Amino acid sequence: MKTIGRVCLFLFLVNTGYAADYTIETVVDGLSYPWAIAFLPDGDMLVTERPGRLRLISGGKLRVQPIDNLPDVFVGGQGGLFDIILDSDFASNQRLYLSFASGAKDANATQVISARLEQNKLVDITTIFTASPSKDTPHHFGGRLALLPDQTLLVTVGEGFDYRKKAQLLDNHFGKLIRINKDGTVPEDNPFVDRDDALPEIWTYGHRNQQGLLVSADGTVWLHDHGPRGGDELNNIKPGKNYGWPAITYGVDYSGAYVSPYTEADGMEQPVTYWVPSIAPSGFCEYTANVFPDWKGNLFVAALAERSVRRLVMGNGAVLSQETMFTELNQRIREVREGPDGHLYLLTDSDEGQVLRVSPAN
Amino acid sequence: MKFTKSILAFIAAVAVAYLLISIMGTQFVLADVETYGLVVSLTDRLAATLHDIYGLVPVLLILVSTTFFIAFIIASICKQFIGGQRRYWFLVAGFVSLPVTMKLVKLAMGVTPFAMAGTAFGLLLIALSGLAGSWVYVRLSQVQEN
Repeated sequence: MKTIGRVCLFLFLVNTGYAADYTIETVVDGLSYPWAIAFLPDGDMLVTERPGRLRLISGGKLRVQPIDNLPDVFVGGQGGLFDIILDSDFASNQRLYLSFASGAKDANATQVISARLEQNKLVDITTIFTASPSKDTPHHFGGRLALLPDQTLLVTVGEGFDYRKKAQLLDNHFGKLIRINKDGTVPEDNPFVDRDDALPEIWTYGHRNQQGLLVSADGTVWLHDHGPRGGDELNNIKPGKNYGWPAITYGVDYSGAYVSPYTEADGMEQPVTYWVPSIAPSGFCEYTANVFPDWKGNLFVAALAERSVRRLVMGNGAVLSQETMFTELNQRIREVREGPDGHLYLLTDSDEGQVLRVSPAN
Repeated sequence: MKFTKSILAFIAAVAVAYLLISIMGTQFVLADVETYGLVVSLTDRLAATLHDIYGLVPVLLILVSTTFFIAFIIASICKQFIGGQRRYWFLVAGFVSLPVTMKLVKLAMGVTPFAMAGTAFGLLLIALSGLAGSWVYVRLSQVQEN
């Protein structure tokens, strides 16, 4: 009994001690299902809202009027406005990239545009990618964006739920990681450009609903993927590889039946780690700043279902340990990003969504 | 006695339809798995089939039970107000109700609840499973009819 008491006291001290390491403050609230955030060079922020609005946070305040001139967005199910990233030369060219669901209920697709931000308005808009073919389900769009060091653009495209078999076929964009140039053309060194039976934009395949994409400081490409019931995956991405869905998976279907009885197969990549039960990962960043020295080099995975953020301590390409953080918020976390100030920023997934800043306690 | 017989007939009907859909659903999924280049052994096939019979209980069993409950009530009402042979109303109810339920779920949620229901052939097999279930119900509850 005394031992149990000591353990409880230890856990209490550890928990309270840890909670004192950071504080969480609200930057802005009143957002509707915020999905992604981009930090502008002048300290302002752009936040996408899934219902199809791009909002500006300027001087710590949410501008009432959304950014004008967004293209038509299909809003339904999981569809809407998704990710935003800035061009590497944004300071000089004001160019940004947006992903969203386009089309309608019976024919929709993940789409990416390039545009310039000019006085709270998008101008010079060009569609640079539209997933093909379209689908009639409002689920599993993927929609994350990232720039590689060679300035090509990565786009995740989900398998559309009812189209999961197509994730293993190369003649479509379902369940694929796409790599294109910033003008929408196909890089000549994409892995399937020489195959007649494959779409040339495909970089990797065998994915489900990839809502976390990250190019780390050392150039490693990380992707996390929603599993069905269980089987969320963290993958180390290598061009041309097959990541297995739905041929192999650590999860089962929502119905309780197998999607596949197999968890590994020749020619298919294994995840670096996986989560059973599902945490529903969405949003991803690598912490590179010095504000939280203990977190440097860690990966942070936002989790919707678990209402948390997972801190992954990495070493030699593997997850050495994990910590479940920010559960005290009891909020579905859609996105986690490192700000230019070295603080961590969280987006909460609700119709009263918030941008939260995690700062050191002292 | 008649009521008890009717209840037992209903349970048997649900069990037959559930088992058929579950077993065929697993074979559908395994056929897909083989198209990805994996070889499914007989042992794996049997294990997967048993896994799904157990795994589908919380969703499919409830779906089949609820669907048959409503469909059989409608069949009884039709028999009472329109006439005709009772068995035909129940067989039609069994054949039609489960595919309709699958489509209603798709309409409500936007996605197909079972992979098998995503194809016309799969829907036909689900309909035939419902037909088999309702046939069992008609047979076992015959005394009540007479």
